Amino acid sequence: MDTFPYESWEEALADADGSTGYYTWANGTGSVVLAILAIALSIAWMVWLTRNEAKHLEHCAARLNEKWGL
Amino acid sequence: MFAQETVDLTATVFTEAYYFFTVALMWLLHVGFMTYEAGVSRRKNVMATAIKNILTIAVVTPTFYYLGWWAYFCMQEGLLPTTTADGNQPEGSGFYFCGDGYGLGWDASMGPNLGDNITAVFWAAFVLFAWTTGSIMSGAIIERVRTSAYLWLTALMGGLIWVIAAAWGWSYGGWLTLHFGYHDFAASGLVHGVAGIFTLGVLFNLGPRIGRYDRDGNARSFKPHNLHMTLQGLMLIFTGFYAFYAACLAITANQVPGWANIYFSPATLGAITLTITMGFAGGFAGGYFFSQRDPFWTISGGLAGVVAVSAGADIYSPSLVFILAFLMAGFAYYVGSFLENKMRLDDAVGAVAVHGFAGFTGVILLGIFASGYPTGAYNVETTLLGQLVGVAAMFPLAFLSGYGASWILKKLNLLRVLPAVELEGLDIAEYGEDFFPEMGVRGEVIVEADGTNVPAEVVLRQAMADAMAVSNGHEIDLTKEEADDGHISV
Repeated sequence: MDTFPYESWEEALADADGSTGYYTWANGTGSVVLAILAIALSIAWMVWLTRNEAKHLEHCAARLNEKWGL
Repeated sequence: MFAQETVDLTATVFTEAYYFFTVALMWLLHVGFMTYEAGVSRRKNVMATAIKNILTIAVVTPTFYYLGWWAYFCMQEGLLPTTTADGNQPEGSGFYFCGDGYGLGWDASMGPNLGDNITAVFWAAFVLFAWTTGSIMSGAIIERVRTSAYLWLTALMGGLIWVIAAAWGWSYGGWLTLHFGYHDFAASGLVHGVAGIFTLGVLFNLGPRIGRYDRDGNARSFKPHNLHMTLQGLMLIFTGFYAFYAACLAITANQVPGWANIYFSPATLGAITLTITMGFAGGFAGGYFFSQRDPFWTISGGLAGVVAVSAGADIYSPSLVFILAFLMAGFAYYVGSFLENKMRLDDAVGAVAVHGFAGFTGVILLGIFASGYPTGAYNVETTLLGQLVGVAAMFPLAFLSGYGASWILKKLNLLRVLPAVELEGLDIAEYGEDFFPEMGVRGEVIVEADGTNVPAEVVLRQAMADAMAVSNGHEIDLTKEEADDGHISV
């Protein structure tokens, strides 16, 4: 996958005027898609962690309550 | 011409390197918070406590990258985003802007841009501030909060809530800066105050640890499993504080004195060095005096003292700093005692008093002792009224968001671990392992309100039985034999 948007570093440096100057997929559809994927992954991880922890704690509490007769 | 270009490039690279190394040193804040909180926790909760601190980075960083950085530039005029490119940008400044994609996760400003050395390292300094807000809350709610609940809360606070406060009062074009001359150099209010008061809102819903209060409502003490680790953690936090202060400065290489605060008013690295050092000195002395030699409050007094003087770190007289820090250490001690004994809020590390109340009080103190200083590009005078308006805006923002978010988690039964799990300890329950097999399990001791040491087993199981009796509607009275049956190690 060729993601370098210039022919050479010289060309990239010439474009380095503080606005674009070399950023992989900058301001293009690709960068938006990547951002959406990263945000989705982050949220999905949080949801997984929440559900996984809740399930784990329920299991532990049931075991302990049975052991202690509570 | 060539020489001027070289000078400019050198200044740019120096600025880039300066922020990079403040970021690297600010990691010590988080090493310190983790060490401190792990030391404060009981042996059965050490790993769960430490993991919570580490995962702070996993959630606050993306939240701040995708939302917080954009909010900082786009919410300077209030709770609604500014949508015009120059809506809150002082005319001709060219500094901050919103509406053309700057700061968004797919914009050229947020990646490897050969034409922008500064945005990324400046962002990184801010993300370290964001982690700090999470870590401030983290210690207060240890040993009973769910890891996931903490992470949702810290994502909200670190990724958005404190950022809104910063946009309002810690930016070039914030409404508090432009209209009220609000001055909070090293974030007494908008980092420490906001994080502390957000935590206060959470504590109301979270409740105390099982057994923290006796049946008459008197506070018991849980002994830290490793006090040395706790003190070492605080010393690491203090070291990181110097970097935090340094990161609050901007380099203005083409203008005397070469440095400016975040409002672009002149400042120096020397001034803030004096403030932080004299602040710690006054705070430690005050903490030792007011708490009558209590080690925890001696060192927390140093923190409270510095938190309170941070607002004026660029302009205060060092002597004033010493006096204020001394007194604010005592203030934090008494507020902390009030919250613990009268309000029955179980703040395991005193964060609400040390950060929340000392922080916002520090903002008000600046209006008393340093009014008249011009702030920002338009030289708006700092006043007591302006500082009070800042506190009046940020305090409810922090409290209501913390209370509201934790209330929702509580209603979903996702805020707190289950009682049996809390009693056994979070390390075994969450990770299924005793992480310190080399340290034999010894009977834990709890300090009763009258100062006597008692075995924890009986106290904690009875407290749990009390809690279950309330929820189940019938009385459970454990015998000593039941409590000592060896099934659990608390």
